[in-house]
Amino acid sequence: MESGGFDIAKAINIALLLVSFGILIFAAWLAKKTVDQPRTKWWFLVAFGLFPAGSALVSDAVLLQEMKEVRFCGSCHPMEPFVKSLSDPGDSTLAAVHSQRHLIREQQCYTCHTDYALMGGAKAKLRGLRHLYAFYTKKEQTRPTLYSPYPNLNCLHCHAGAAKYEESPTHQTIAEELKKGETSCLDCHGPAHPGKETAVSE
Amino acid sequence: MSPRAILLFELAGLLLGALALLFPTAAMIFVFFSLGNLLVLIGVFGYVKLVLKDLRKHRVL
Repeated sequence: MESGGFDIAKAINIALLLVSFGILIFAAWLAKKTVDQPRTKWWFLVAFGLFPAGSALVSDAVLLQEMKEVRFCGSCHPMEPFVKSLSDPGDSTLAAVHSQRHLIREQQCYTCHTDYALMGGAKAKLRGLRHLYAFYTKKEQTRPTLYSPYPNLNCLHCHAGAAKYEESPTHQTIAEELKKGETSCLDCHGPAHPGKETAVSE
Repeated sequence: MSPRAILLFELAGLLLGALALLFPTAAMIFVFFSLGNLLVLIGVFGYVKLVLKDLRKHRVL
């Protein structure tokens, strides 16, 4: 979803929540007056059933979209250096290069850190919850690290099949190792983010 | 669950959802929105249960 479209969806969602709120208050007022009339019961169906459930569903969709945005990831303090580096012209880390050259134009964190599988999105959300839990419970705030090695498949999802990738003699030599994850793309092309000392290679 | 409790659950849930939408930071979304969703869900289930009880009382079901 484009950010303009997303803002409209968000505005509609907030309006829907306000309407739901108003209808609930109206139904509560109506209940005091005419609780046994059939018309009142229809109002209850709308106020207590349809609108709240509908609002919650629309909110789910809108906020699941919001969670893909870089600003969402950057809203946690430990993530700030990572997010800042994406737009820092002096930064040559892999993530910064991808972002600044518009190789990934939007939702950069989500694009690289969500596995391309059926449950990829759900697993990313669960990892996010784990990060949040660690953020509030850990006494020492250290540089965030991945829970498991970064999967090459996430890189290959875009790069595999691309001429520049396929024609590289190095990639041809270790193609199988890369597919199996025995050699990490980051061994040569890292670091992905600031805080580690190697320069990125093309 | 009483109608008043359903009303309170749903109002609180919608309010938390609106707050998460207005301030969509990670903490707000994960905590407020999840909690808001849960409250609305409890309210809706409470309402459905109440309707079923009513229908049984009037021998519709």
